[in-house]
Amino acid sequence: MKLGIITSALALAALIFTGCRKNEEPHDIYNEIKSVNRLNLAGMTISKMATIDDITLDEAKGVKETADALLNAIKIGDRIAVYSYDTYLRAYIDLSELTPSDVAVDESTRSVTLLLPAIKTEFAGRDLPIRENHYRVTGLRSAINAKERAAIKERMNESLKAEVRRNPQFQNHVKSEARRKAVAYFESMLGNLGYSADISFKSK
Amino acid sequence: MKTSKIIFAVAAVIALGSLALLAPRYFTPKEEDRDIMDSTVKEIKSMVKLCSADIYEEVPIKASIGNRHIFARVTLKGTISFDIERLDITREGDTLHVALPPEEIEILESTDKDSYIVIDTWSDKLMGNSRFTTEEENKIKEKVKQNAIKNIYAKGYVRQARAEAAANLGNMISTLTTKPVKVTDPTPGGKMNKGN
Repeated sequence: MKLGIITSALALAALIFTGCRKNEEPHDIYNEIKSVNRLNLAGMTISKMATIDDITLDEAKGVKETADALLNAIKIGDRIAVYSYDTYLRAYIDLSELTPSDVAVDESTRSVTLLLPAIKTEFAGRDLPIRENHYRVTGLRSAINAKERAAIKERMNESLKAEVRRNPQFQNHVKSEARRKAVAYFESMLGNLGYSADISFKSK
Repeated sequence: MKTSKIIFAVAAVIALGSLALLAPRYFTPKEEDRDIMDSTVKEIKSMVKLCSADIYEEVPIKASIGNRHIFARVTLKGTISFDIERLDITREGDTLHVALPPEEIEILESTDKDSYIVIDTWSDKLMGNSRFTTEEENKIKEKVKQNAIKNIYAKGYVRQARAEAAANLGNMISTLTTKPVKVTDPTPGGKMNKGN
């Protein structure tokens, strides 16, 4: 009898501890500094906006969404917010790829022929803060919390990156501005030293 | 009679338990609630910035306002760069002389997956409100950014970046002009200012 009680108690304790354990993932905190030799030539600011809102019956598609919309309809109050933030795309040339063979100087004509590395793009990062463009939580609805904002920012980030991958116009615009700037800069710098410049770019 | 009462009580407990378990699923905001709009290009600007260091750092955030606390993790992405658009190049004999401009430190949130995660928010008070407003959260993140900049100076990253930028700038101008170049650095350790 005693053994049975002890076994049951242990089983119950194991069940409680298993149930209480949070789904914790290890978070490796590290930092890194990397030496680079990059000439940043253009930057694009891309804005993303999203809403946190209840789904309505008009918007609902399928059984699950319709059920959600019905539940939303009986909740007391409204819960809507609009958030936005900016992401930065940069265009650059990697100067470590510039070799002496890419430059030809003709002292007799005072001219320089320059073959610059290909222009590349990368995400510089995004704003740390998030803009709250609109916030209206009324009645018995719960306030929008930090976890929800972090989650929506993550989804906006995924969506933005997918858009940039899908639509080459984003990269083309910033690359074209970088190309124009590089030509103007090197022409001006070499011009000040008394050289004319013929500038082109590698394709890759 | 007694047995039927017990069965009814057990059934009631099961029903209430199921309701307690399922209710949060229905009352938690759904992913589908969120409407993400198309991205818009706000600005395209040109620059000529020589970048000599990329910084990548994961930072734990632990902050409190009154009885409310937040624990989060953010991945920062930064650069140390130098605006070389208006370099003053002087010539002394065959040698070109140029001074390294002040450093510019940019700290942003990474766009890598899960770069900002709120792990926990809580209140010291029983049943107390643990909510942080957007404004409060933004102020906490601004402090994180300013601390990161201070650490970049304290760890000597700026000194390292300036030394490398001086060497890279000298190499670039020398390659372009085939002339010897001397880059001087008026502030080898850098200078932290409000603009950074």
